[in-house]
Amino acid sequence: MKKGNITINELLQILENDDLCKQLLDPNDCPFLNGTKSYYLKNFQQLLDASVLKLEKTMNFKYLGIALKILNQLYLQKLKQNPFLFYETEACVELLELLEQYPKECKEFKTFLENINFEKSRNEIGLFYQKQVKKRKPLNDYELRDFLTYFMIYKNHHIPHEYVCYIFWNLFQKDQKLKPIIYAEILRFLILDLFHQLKIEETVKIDSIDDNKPFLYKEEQWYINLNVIKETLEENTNYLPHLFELVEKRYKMKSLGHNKYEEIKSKKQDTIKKIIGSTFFYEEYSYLSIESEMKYWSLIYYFRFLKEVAPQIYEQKMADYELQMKSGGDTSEQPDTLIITQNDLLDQTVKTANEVIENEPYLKDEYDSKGSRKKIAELLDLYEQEAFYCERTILESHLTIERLIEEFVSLLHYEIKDNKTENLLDKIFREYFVREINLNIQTKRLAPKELEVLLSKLNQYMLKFYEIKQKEISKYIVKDQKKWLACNTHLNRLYGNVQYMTNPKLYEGSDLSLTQVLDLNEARDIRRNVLKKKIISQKVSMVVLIILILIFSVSLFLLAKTVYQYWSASNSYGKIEGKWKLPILDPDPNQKEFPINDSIPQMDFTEVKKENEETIAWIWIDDTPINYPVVQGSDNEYYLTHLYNKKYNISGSIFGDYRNGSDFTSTNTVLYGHNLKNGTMFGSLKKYKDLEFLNNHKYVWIMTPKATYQYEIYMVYEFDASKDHYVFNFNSETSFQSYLENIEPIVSNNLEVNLEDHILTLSTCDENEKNKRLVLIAKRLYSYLQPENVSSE
Amino acid sequence: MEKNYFEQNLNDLEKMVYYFEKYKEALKCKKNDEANYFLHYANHYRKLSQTIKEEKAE
Repeated sequence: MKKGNITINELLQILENDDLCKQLLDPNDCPFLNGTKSYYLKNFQQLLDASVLKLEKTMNFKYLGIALKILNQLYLQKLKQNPFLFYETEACVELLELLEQYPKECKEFKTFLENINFEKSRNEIGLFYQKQVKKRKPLNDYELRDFLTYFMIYKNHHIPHEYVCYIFWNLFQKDQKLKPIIYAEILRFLILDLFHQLKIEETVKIDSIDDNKPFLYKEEQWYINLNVIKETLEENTNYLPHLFELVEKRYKMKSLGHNKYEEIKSKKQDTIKKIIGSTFFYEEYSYLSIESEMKYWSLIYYFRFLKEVAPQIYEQKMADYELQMKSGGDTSEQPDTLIITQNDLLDQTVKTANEVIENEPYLKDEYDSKGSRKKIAELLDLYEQEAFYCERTILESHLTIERLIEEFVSLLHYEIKDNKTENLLDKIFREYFVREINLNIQTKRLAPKELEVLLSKLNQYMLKFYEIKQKEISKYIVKDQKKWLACNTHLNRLYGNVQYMTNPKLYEGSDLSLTQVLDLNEARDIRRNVLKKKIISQKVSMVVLIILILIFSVSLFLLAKTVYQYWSASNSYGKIEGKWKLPILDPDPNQKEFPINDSIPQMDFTEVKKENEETIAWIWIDDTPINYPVVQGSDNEYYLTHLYNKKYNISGSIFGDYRNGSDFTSTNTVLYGHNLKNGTMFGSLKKYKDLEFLNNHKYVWIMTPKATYQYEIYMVYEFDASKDHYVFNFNSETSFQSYLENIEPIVSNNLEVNLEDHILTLSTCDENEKNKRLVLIAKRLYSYLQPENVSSE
Repeated sequence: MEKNYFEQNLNDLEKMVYYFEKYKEALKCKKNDEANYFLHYANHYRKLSQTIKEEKAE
């Protein structure tokens, strides 16, 4: 043992009483250590030296692959991250150099490396810490360890310095229970960082030890001069002194001089606390080992590896020893000095391999009794598969669409041996990918365009994959049709799913249920259905449009027709329209009949009668459009739709009831006419509902070939046309009066009417109700007779 | 001024990691020549970092 170094025995004494060491060799990490603790402790120095790298050199390289796989698996399970950072890379590089002479193993190892995406996980680690730090979430031991390694290599890339300080500061303040190595690491990084910032030269040669130099390099180990560092820190930082105090307090770590060390050693005090495994005391200085700590991490995982085989070896050795004891053999060798050699490990691994092969019949066929190469190869394959499925479980907890696509694409490179890959791909795709997309849609983490780009990328990958795999599995068509069928079905299903799910248009509504499992055919059907629905809806909308256009054009035509008919009616009536002046009369009220004179409006019927023989009179009301010939047909229907000249027109004519006489001699003469919207024919009668209008336009002039009659409108009323209302001649005064009394007038002037009088009824439709009639009743005031009709009296 | 050991060491290790990454990329693309080239450099820097350690130890 070199001067200044602690001896193994001394170390063991310390370690055995050391809580930190117990913590380091945590039974949860290495449960099997409980029983064999003393054994491991006694060989501690040996194990310490045998870092993974050193172990590899002495160990058969074949088993190193397995060891690395187990390490990787453990890392994956525990850390859920890729473990290959700094030291692991170093180990890999060295191992690859070693493997150069052994092509098969080299190839296997290369394949193993290919399937681990280092860079991706590294970037993820950086981003993960950044997120954690931003969320101000505490890191667990594993995360912290990786964080530290990451920080050391990539400290300028992702993690701002203040965050790092924040993390450390929090760690110490909360007094979290951390492994000693974590504290060592933190100290190391913080101090290095600090010194780097302060531009302090860290190194010092062993020959020129200086109280003020913070670091010491000796025998491939770095040591930190705690005193110097503490002083420096106190001067330069706010947070580190406190941090340092906390560390000291926790571990009662003090600067120990040589004498004090001797004292402790002699008293076997258990108050020596170390940051990690070994504390070296050099001369008067207390130094904290740096480099060896890192090896502990390798060791911890080495222990984990050992736990697979070591207990069995140990038990075997113990059994051998006991047997030896019983048979009276050499007893000089103590059981706790039994050493598990590399050969032991190798033997055990081969034994395990044999067991595996026994349990797995399909491996037995390829078993080569001469060597272990194939066995090991199979083992490697087994571990690789386990690692593969481990990766899948990790996938569930670290999902992003980008990552999923990467995973998906990386899986596409796998050779199709059976349906497993396709099933797995399909599962990943259905369960995770679609869920992630839905999540994205809900949370809007990705912009729609980004999502679209990703989806189309995936679609392209899938297309390539499909082509390649189709070729690949086509070889089974002849060999193994069942296999081909199964592979083909899965491939098609996967292809269908991807094709369907990666259509960005599907996600526009986002209400779609995307968890459904689709076959290629199903996907096609769905697309077809969607297309059909689209076409149907387009057709329906076209039909509706055409119908609307038809309705519009028909109504336009009808409107035009009506307008034309109104126009043509007014045109033809306008041709024969008579022009009269209202006479200024002051007749004798006791006399009702007068001979006609020139001031009285009168009509020459010769021209009008040429047009229509059935013309019986002319009606005129001053200051209204009513200025029309009056016709009388054989029924009350014909002239509803014909003009006075018998041309068809919806405006119709003013016509007398066919039950009346043509000479206006009936007690009640009824004239009909349409209530047209443009106010022509009897369209102006509705104005008579207003009493003022009635009083200003109360005279109606009826001109016949025999006489001109002057009537006065005195009553306006409405009645239901469904009943036969009109009476033309009355038997008695009573019936005439009761006829008039039954009327409920809207507007009325009090005018005495008796059976001797003649009344004129002007009837038209009500504008609001189809079955109602608007009626005006006028009383004949005077008759102006043509000379030939004047009575001789 | 003597080059900072830590920086130097870290640089070598970083280079090692960098070339190893390159190696793995090449390996994935089945570019064996390139892969060997990168592996050679990774190994070189690994040894270099160790040599520095050893030199310093001496």
